[in-house]
Amino acid sequence: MQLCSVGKKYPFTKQQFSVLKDFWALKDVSLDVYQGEIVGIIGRNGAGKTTLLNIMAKVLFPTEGEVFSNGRVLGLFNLGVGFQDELTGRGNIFLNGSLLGATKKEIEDKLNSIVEFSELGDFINMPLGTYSQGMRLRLGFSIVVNLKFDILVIDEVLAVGDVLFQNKCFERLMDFKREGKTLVITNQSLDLMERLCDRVILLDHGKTLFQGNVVEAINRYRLLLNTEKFFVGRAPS
Amino acid sequence: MIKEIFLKRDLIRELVMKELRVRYSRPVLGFAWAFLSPLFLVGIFYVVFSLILQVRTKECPFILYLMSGVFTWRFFQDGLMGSVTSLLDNKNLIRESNFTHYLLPLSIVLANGINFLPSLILLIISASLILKGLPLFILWLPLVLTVHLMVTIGLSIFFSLLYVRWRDIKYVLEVFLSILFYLTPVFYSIYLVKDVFSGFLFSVYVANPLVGILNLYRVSILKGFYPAIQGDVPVAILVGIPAAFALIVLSSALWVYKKFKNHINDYLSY
Repeated sequence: MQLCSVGKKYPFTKQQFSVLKDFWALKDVSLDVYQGEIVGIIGRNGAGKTTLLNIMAKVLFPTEGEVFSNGRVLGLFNLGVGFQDELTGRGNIFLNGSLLGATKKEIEDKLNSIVEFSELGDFINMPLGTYSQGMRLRLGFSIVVNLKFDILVIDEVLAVGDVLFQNKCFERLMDFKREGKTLVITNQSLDLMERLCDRVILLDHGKTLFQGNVVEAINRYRLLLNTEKFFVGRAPS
Repeated sequence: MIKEIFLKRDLIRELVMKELRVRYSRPVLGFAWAFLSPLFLVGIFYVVFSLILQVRTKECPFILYLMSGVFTWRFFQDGLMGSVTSLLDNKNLIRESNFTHYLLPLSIVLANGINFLPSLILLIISASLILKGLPLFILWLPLVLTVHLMVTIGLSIFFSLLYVRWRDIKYVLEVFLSILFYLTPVFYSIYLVKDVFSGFLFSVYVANPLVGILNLYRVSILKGFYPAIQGDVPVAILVGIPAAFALIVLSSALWVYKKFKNHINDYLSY
């Protein structure tokens, strides 16, 4: 996957938001992701990580620049996305699966392994509205990892899983790496990033500050975290 | 586009089932509301228009005229009003992946269509009992349904796209539909309009595609309807206007979608 000088502007239209009339969430971001690598994206809140991931998954389209990708991209974003609270867990597996491009037959074949991986037990037949954040993660992650993809994009959601599930996810992600799949991950747990990623990109205020060696990127991020004041948009005058 | 729909049929089925389940699984009477609601409306209209206001329709018994009008109008109205906010309401489904947005209003109109079928069957049964048989035109019915669907789907795609950017559209549509309701012969005969207005205004009235669609339904289900209106409405207009409108509106809606689809998600956050 290749991003060339990608910029993303959000058009806030109502008058009361005119303070941020044109918010450039990303500006002049260029990066390459090679097959079979795990790329991490780190940065402070509001740096543009989710926007970047959305663009990679083709949920959003860049205002400037171009994106090239080879293969199917699946994404796991925040835990409300792709789910309907009134339907059961099982119903949501079918809905979510077809939203991600799987046919009914594909989902039926994988239904048992999805339910097993999630370890949700009887709750799979309860409406999704009764699930906790951690349970939603389990379901969402189980669905995504049982479908066919070439590139997997995961936003900051892994944090809500308990340690046992996080380990399970970690193992599964390493399996994918061995199979030659590409992963792009974002997380605030720098420890996880160090263990998992081959390369890390540091994002700040929509621009890439550093791309490359994992340890160095993390150190630079730690430097940034020591800054006293931080504002997502512009500092108030 | 037809090919795309065929490929995505599983997703469409899921979306339609979702819509129906969300609507009918919790209410106690469930799916019965699909035709209870229009039936009550027909009831109260009958009381007010036939008994109190003494409206008469010479082409066929008023109760059948009402049922054919109300049921088909409800499908049109519920389909449009239900889908205008659909893109924003389902933004969490849309933001999951690269989503073909028009599938949402499409699925809502289809769900309303499934809603419509019991009432339609009830209408056909009542018509054949009261009028003792069905006209030959009943064979047209699938075509009429297709035209009705195309018009509703095209408009729903168009309005739901506009709504994402200009939220006023929902209220504009509400007003527009209530006005259109009175300009369509749901509960009164066309010949009444012909008597009151000049030739030019009458042709404007008949140019309304919904007038044509309602007429087509009545012609195909109610025996003796076609002979009764033959004089007032030439066949070319009866069939031509709805069909042409259906094609135009559906193709322009899809053209508009294609042009703006990369920008829709930007406006879905709030």
